[in-house]
Amino acid sequence: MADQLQKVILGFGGGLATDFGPSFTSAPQNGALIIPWAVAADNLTWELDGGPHKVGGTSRLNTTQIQVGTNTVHGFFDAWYQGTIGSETQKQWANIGTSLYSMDALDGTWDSQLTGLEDSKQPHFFMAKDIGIFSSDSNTDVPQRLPVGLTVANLLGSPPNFAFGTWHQNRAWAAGVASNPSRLYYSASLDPEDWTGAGSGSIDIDPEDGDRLTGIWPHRNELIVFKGPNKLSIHRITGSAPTGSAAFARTPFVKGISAINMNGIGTVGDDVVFASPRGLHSLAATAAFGDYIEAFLSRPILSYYQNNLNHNTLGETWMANWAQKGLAVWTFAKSGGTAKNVILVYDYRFQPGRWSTWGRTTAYLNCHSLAIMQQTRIHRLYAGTTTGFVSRIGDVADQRLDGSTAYTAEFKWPFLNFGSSATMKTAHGGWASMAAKGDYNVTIGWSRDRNAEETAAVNQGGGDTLT
Amino acid sequence: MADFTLDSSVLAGNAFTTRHFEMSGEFREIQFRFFQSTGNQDMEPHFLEFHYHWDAVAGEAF
Repeated sequence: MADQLQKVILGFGGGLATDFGPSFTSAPQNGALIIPWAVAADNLTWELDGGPHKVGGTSRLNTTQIQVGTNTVHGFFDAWYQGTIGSETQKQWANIGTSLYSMDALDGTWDSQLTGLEDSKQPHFFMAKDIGIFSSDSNTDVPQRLPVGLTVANLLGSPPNFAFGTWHQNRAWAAGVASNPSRLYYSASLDPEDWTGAGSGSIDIDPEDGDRLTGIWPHRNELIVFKGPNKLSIHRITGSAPTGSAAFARTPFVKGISAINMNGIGTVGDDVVFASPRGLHSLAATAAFGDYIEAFLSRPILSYYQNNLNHNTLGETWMANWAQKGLAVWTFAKSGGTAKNVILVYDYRFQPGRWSTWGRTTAYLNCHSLAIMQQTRIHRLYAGTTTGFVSRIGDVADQRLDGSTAYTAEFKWPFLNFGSSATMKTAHGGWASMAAKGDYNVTIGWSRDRNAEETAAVNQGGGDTLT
Repeated sequence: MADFTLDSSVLAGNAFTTRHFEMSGEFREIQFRFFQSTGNQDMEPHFLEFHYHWDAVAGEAF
């Protein structure tokens, strides 16, 4: 058989999929082969044509380390106080170690506002009628009011000792009370500091069914109530008042799937996404398909989720919707440790969404907690660490960790046989087409069958005009 | 073969570059990888053109 030189354009047609196998067999069509998944996509994001792009670096928001208790930034929050003068005031709040700190409009300085909290509990923050509310799953610490004037105090109005809450139908709603784990509480109308007066109340959600309330989330004029972490169920609270024609009512939604915790839930577009013990999910897909595994957001990486994460710490995940980039991100600990050292990144600009990871193959910043905060009106992604720092992550032009440590972006396709594994081929050469970055190299590697990987360093500088 | 680029005044001023690298050796299946390990250095490939010869008798065992 005479030699025939084949020329094929290889295109980036999909995100990370650990569960689609190690090889893709397909013959090029019209000189192109679009490869529908990657077997590695670490420390990168996606361009809209599918091209992988090394994720941006990180930089510390506070340059002075906070040293208190474990030094861990258990959670933090971007608070906007509307006030009555026509302009908002921005504050940040953080639960670090055993203390509660505030910051003025991302000025980089944390100021201690409350000490003596129980360390290493799961905190939660939300705004309710121009008051920030902090709570945690501690059985001893009680919910705190965080006013714009920074005078932290116990939340007024005899609230239950809830772990998390939200604002819905002009009321504060709360749950996660150890003594009543299936009870959903609501405050009086327009008053998050009245939990016993007229209009306040509670709703019991299948008490003693083996689960507790793990999350509550407003969505499409309803409150979605999650129970877990064992049997798993989701419920809907309809209505707008305790009594009357639109009285609050509970409707079971689905069983067998639910959020594992409050901080792993987020709104993405017209949908709610959440982490469960089984994977990562969309409420819309759950509504359509229930616990049918094909509908999980994390279907392409499900074995990684189920086998390679520390499930004892799943309930401590934080989710952030980085809408500016079209990314939903969750932070987890890999198996074998408790440090949250991998972020699963879902790019929902694509349909279906495309997965990548930060920190899976090689280290990125260990991100214990996550939040979106506004820096000069731009929504940016921040992470709290276990070392007393909050860092901006993902879009810092200096592609190092906090300005000092290099990290590796890696993209790898499955093995390709171009339509036949039986037929031997001979490699001739490659032509890498890239965005010009500078007079430095990217490394391209290739592995032929069971041979050791060969590599070429390819310059990414813009060059002379083609002549 | 020397490197050349499709950029500068041809394509929006240094926005894009195409670079050649030599390859050799036989294969039945091949896997490509891109990686960038150096601090403060970016990576953004958009496609890869691969040339190979389709040359052997089908059906041979490894």
